[in-house]
Amino acid sequence: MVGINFIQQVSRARNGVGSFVLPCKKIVITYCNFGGSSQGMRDFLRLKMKNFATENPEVEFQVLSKPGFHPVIRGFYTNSQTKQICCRKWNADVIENKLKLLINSSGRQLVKPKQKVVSMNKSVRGIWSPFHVDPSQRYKI
Amino acid sequence: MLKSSRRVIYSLRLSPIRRALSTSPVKPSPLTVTPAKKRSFKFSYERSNNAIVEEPELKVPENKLDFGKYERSSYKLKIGEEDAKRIPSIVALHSRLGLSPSYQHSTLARALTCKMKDSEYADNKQMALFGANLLSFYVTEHLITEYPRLPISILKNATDAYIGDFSLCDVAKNSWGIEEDETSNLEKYLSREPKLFKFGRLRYDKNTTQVEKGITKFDDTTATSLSKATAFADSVRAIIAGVYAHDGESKTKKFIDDHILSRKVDISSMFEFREPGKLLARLLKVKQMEAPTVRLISETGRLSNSPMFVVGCFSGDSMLAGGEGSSLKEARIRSFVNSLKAFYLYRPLDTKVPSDDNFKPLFVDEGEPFY
Repeated sequence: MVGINFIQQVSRARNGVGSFVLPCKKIVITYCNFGGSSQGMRDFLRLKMKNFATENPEVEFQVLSKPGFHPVIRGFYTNSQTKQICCRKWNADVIENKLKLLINSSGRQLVKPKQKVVSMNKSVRGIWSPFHVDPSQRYKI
Repeated sequence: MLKSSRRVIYSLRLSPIRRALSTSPVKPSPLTVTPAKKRSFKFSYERSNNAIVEEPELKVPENKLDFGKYERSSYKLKIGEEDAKRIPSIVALHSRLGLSPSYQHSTLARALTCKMKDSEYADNKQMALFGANLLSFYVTEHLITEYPRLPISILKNATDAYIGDFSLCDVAKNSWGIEEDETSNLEKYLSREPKLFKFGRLRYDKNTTQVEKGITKFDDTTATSLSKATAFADSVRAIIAGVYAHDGESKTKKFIDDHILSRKVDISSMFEFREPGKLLARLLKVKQMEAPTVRLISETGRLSNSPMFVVGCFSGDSMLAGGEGSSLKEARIRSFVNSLKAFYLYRPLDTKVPSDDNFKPLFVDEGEPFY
């Protein structure tokens, strides 16, 4: 249109508004077939893994044997970050809880929030302005 | 005497019919038809070039309006449903997007396969094209009903912000978690990955190649090569076309509402007015309102190094918008911009789009005649 230019934009995701897509897309589990630190992980894979994977169909599970290393679970997220937890000497229940922690994580790095509210929207009220107050009521220096 | 004559001239100028009837000694010049100027710039959502599929390659359903039933038969290989269900990333993606059980996994695998030079597998080209049309239909009707007074350039730009290549690429990559197939055949062989698993990732002919570390060759264009953003965006479009084919129109609308229209686009920051004062004056003239006047509401620190002025833009007695700035000129221009935006960003309450069930058309404006 004559006299009106446009500035191009890219829409920004608001996960949870409209639809929620789980950010955790893949979990890789590594274990050792004979190491003592992998005992709990081997128990988990033998007894609980099948149920756990069917309960979480949104996540792709990959189990790798890595002989001679401690067992590690590694989560891959849609924001192309990864989070890994070493499960050395942990029993099957603890490992299950840690897997739940990975699945429920957003993949973002942990930061201490500086504001109580974080929003993409501008404040509805706007910034307070002394100029819109009635002149008789204004603060006088 | 002078005043009255001026008034006469003024009234004459205002009534073109009377002037035309009174005297017209000169024959009006014949109308010349100027060819419409072809717009060279195109947004990415408009750029899809329609590849014509010939009749024998296409299975046309009996009801030709049943768009989900068209089928292409020009490819040699197709991933079957059983095979597709064995690809973990496809199963996970199906579940993550909350697709219905009637949505076949093989469709999802096909949606991730772009048209490639040496591939005989079914590709997503036609699906992406249909998905692009679905997207532009639903997004445009949403924007037009939500903001009925948007100028056409801003409307197109807002549509592009929702369904352009870069936005849909962000949907595919950073929301849905679709991965690109980057490993070579050798790497796949060494990692003992089943051959089937490559269909769970987005595959396309890249138009850039990594010649060696740190050197990228651009413009490696062939007939099938795509940029990264276009390839990812096409996968989203194809998945949406799949929703239409398997679940029908109303589910598609819901899917687009949930995944595309729920994203954040700030339309008010898209405007860039070249001469806001002139535009506002013209707009008010068309709407038969008084010309804009700017009045100072309050000020502070005029002689300091950080003054502040608050002005209001008025048409007659009604204030159109306020504006503040650190100089009178800045505040004035801001008030013009704010009043233009107050007009263009008008939103009716409780809008319904034309594809809704009990839609009632709403008369908003007669439009702007000067464009």
